[in-house]
Amino acid sequence: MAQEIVFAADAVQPTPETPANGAAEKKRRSAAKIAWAAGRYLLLTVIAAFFLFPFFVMICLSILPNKDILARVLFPTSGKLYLGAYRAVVSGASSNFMKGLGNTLIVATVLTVGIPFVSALCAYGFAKMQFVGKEIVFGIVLSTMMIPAVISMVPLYFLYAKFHFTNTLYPMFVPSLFGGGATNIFLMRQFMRGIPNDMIKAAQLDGASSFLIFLRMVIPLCMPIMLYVGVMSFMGAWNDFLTPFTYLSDTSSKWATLAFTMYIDYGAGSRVLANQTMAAGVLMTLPCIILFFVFQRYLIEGVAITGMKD
Amino acid sequence: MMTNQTERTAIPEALPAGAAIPPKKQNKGLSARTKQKIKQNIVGYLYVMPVILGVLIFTAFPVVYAFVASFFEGTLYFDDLGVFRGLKNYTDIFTNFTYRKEFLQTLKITFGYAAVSIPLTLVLGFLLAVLLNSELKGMRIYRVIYYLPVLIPPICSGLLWGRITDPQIGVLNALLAKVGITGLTWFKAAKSSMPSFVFINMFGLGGNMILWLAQLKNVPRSLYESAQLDGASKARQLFTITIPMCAPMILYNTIMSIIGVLQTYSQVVMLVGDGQGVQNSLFFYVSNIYNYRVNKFGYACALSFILFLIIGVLSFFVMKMNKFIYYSEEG
Repeated sequence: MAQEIVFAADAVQPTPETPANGAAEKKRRSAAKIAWAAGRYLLLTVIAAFFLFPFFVMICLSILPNKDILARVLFPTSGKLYLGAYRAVVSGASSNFMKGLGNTLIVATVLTVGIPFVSALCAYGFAKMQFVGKEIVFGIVLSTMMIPAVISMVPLYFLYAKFHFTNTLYPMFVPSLFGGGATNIFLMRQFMRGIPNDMIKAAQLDGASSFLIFLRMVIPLCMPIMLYVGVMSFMGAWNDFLTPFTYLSDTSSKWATLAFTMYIDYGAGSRVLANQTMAAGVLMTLPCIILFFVFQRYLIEGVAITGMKD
Repeated sequence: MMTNQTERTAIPEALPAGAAIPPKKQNKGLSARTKQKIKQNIVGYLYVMPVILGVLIFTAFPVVYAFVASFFEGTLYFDDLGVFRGLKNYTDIFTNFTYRKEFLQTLKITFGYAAVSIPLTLVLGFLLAVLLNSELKGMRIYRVIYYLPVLIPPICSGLLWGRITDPQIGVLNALLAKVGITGLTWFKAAKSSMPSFVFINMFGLGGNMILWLAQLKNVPRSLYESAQLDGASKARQLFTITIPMCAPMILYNTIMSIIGVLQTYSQVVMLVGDGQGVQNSLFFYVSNIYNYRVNKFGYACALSFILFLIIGVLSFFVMKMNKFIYYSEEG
């Protein structure tokens, strides 16, 4: 359907073959322009309704009182807003959610600061340093992106058991602090290649060491991509389920997403507690929505570097 | 992109080989230069040390361990690889009746899903991005809304969709009944679970849309302006400017999608358990690996290396298409 829109836009654009002449022509064109904008907004809104649907249902379910959960309704039948599910999740006696959320927040914060810094450090090495075997090392790092994560799951479990890492929060952030992941290094390197070498040479002539150049010049210049990597790292840690699920055997109290496992039993229990599941889900989604809204520009620009040098 | 870099580094190395420099001066210069070079190398390696260690400990070790284990009977104990089986774990995949059936089944499902979902998300994501790529008022809000389903934690989203689509207590069927559509079985029947899976993944289009949006912003305006002067239509511009300029991103995205889709697992588990419940219709390749990892670790490792091979071969072919792609200035 948007294919049509591309063509419709064509009709509005002036083309050299039909040069605009006369006020009538101009008026007709501006009317078409308004109609086109209105149509576009209409289409945007219809599609927005589609994308709003899951979150809308999530909110609706979270405000249902327990008795309405099986009623196939979206709003409380009593007509009154019910916040009991939120209360149960946040301060309920049996709820581990807030404790897990605290741990998740700590780890996510460490990674939000740590991953951009570490991956910038490595990317700086790959982008601006000269050393033997650089291209080979970089190639190996990149190729790790292709290895299916499932291969390493079990061997890593053994490794963490040896380090006494299982059942602690370490597996969630220690591996990421070693380099911050191939994708992030790749992104940062692409970005840093855009920094002119002459600038770095000039700083060198002034007697700055390479690390000082990194701290004082490269990092400030790389802020947009650092923000991108930071926000992505936060969301990654925040939403991660498989890592804590594999390495934390003492489950729900340590990690926010693990608190959801108490609702997965495909039996009657999960149905009764659906309002609490969704209340927890809404609480977990809100920070991400705020982050995305605030950093939208950086997120979109950050992705732009993926494909090519800018 | 990489060749460019190597060429640049190769130039200074070629200089000392120049015969024109007097021998004595060259000797003295070399030693200072070598010292400088050694220092340069040490500094360089220090910068990339974290990732080298990370790759060795958290990638190379597990992969090598899994590779060795794929030749053993395998249990879940670190110091005991079990009985050596040679290539039997690998040949079992193709000769043992049950294993072969599972293998082919999961392969068919995984590739069937990939063949539908990758092109679909690529095209629909592009159309959404075209729609949103303007400076009109309110675009920021629309982008957040379109991206919203991606922001819901996947585990929660799985539980949510499981509930929304539940034929007995879900709201979706209740809503559809109002427009006269009744009796959809969603994830509760083998026939409908794959289309349902594709459908609910459409809500994740926002992620793909962002990639396109980023790329569309990267296309220089001047190209469109000159094309317009030459009288190229919008449709023509789409095929001769927009798509070729976005090609590197399409390539990258396709490879990442292949890797991602072939590893589909968590989403399925959230929705329908290990996928075997609905007569194997959502029994993805990786589910097989997960299901065997406790009792038949060696076999699970063999399966995961086959997957690695498949991903490698596919990525190689996609990369080969690289040469048809135009890279801006960079060369």
